[in-house]
Amino acid sequence: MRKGKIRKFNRFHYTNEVACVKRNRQRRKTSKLERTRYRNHNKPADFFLGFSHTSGFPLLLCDSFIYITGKVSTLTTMEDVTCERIMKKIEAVLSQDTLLDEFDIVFSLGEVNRSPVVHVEHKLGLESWCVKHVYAYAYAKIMGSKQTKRREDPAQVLRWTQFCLLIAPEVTTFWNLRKVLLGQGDLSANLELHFTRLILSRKPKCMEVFQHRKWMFKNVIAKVIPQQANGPNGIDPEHHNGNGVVFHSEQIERFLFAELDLCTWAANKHQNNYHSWNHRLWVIQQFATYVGLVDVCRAEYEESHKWISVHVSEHSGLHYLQYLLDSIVSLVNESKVENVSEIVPYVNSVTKLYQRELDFNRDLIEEYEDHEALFCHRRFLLTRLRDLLCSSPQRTCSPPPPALKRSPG
Amino acid sequence: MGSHPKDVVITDEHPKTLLYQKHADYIVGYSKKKDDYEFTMTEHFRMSGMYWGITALDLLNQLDRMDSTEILDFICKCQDKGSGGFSPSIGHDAHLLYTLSAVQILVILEALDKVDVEAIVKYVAGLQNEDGSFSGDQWGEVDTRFSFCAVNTLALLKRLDAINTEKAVEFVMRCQNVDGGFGTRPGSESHAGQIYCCVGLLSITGQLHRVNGDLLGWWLCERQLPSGGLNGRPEKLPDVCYSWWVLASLTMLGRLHWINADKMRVFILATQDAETGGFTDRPGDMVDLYHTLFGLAGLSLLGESSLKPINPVFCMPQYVLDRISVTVQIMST
Repeated sequence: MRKGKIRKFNRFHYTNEVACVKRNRQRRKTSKLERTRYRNHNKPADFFLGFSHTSGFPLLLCDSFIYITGKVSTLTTMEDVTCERIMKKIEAVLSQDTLLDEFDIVFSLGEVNRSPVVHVEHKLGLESWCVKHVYAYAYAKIMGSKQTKRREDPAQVLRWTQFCLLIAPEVTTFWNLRKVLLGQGDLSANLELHFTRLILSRKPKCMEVFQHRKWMFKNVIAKVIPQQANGPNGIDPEHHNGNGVVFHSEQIERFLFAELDLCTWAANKHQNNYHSWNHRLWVIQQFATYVGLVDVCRAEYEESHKWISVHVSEHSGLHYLQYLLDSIVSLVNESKVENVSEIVPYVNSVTKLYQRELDFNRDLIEEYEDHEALFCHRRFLLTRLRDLLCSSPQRTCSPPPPALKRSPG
Repeated sequence: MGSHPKDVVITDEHPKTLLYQKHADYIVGYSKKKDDYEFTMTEHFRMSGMYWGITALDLLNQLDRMDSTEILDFICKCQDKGSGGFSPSIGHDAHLLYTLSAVQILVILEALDKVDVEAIVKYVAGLQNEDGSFSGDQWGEVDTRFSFCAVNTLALLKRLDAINTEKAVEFVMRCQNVDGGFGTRPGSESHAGQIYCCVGLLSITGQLHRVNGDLLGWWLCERQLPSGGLNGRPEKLPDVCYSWWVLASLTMLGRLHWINADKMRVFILATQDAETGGFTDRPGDMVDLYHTLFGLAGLSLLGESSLKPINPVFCMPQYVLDRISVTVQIMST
């Protein structure tokens, strides 16, 4: 699918693009030293983003060396402008196209006589030839400003970190810089949610993105509102949780429901996506805290069965169902619902719930042979049912010592 | 149980013997390569990368090929003056993951006196939460990996008294699932990497009796696929790093003999790159330091005599732990 998109990008003609990046080979004179360095360059780095040795972009590779090592700084003026222009273009696309839903690096042979930023049908592409160059520039800028503890213009830090995170979203230091700016109100939460979603379109199992969104929920979206800001009469669109703490309930609900959709989308993009399913579990836990579990469990129970029916080899989805089943049983045990049927129609006891699940599981096993995940799930169901019927939970611990020993010191 | 369509095929073309010297040369060569794009792109986990390289080189008995002065200089520069924790590289933010890596390197190189140990202890202890869990850094993400990093770091510093270990253990036990495995947080799916962290924490704190070795051991040895390789969750591809996470966990549970060691060895050896040296995740992929350490560590656990014995909990050469008299708990069967 990704390859298809890349082909789509490559077919696109850039008739309206401003040729803001000149052909470097013609414009710049590079030293013999630089050319030697390119030839001696180690192979693995070239293949890092799927590049291969082709004509056109080697000179730019040389530039990236210069920025990374920080040994040469005299060639920078023109290049800095180019790097900034590319980043500004990306920033403009991100802030203007609210329907932008996909980002990727587009392979190119290094035709540089046009902008490397491709924006078509709400997709954003960045031509591969410029990646190393601009990344090295932005990286050096961020690190430079961090080390000198200079107070940078927030807009610049946002632009640099935005570019670097599109390329390498695993770098938590960059996310942390953005957290500070979110906290100061220099960055809007909606823009950041859009940006992080865009990154997931390229790297749908990026743990750091999910972590950042979790942090945003706790510290921006569901941030406790100080009581005095609540108006003299306490009339508010917010929600009291009974402990005198006030939340923006509508905002929270909107975020949580959107987050469930995001998880489904990310899970569809990458098989067995542990982080997306783990995030979904976290979302359900937030529902329990802020909204209530009954309605979401009812919807998710149904949704989960639809998902599993077409993803029989994904244990993560089955584990999620296990979590929902445990949640439903807890709701019944804690008398938050009178009967299971309030969540699962026509099922009026916990035992029958497990029996229904065993039937569903058996049907899948019969239809789709040889799926370990389905058998693992069956084990879970049988264990739970046995514990329920025998009232003797499975032993999860070992016999007490002396079955244990310390290693020799 | 079903068959495994998601597996790899090992052929005669894959390496069958340990390319001992190739790996040592690969690691030394990697550490000297400092001026390319890849170097910048790996900066955010540099400290762990160094730990992988140094430990692997020590297992290969060639630690003296590393420039320890340069390494220690770098580590000292990465200790955050404010928090006491270590960042992965100069200019990056401190985190428990890199604090552990830094301490592991310092213990291997016998250089703890070069850094402010009290500040490390304070940093780690300050990240423990009310429920016993640990945040990875000041931004509050919770994960059982971080619990392990915290306990591991303090055990190496012999300062476990600085945290509430009972609560740390309680939190980890809340992350156990019906299948006997552990996940990142309470309710999270079992994952072999997280299991290693949780079982490791229980081993360090002497609480392994809280685990049902038969139940968890069974789940762990089900990770072995027909190729001999191990995956980390059901119906996933095998990956050489799981030969560490799973083998080390089984070793702690006293059940290493539950997997087919011969086939495991064949798989690990097949992930070597005969041309460049180093190990990959699966046969035929690109090598990296991470898989090189865990490939060698797995072979060491399986008794490879040309490698130094490794400790299954700390993933450091056993002689280092012996030197500082740190012991771990191993279940006997």
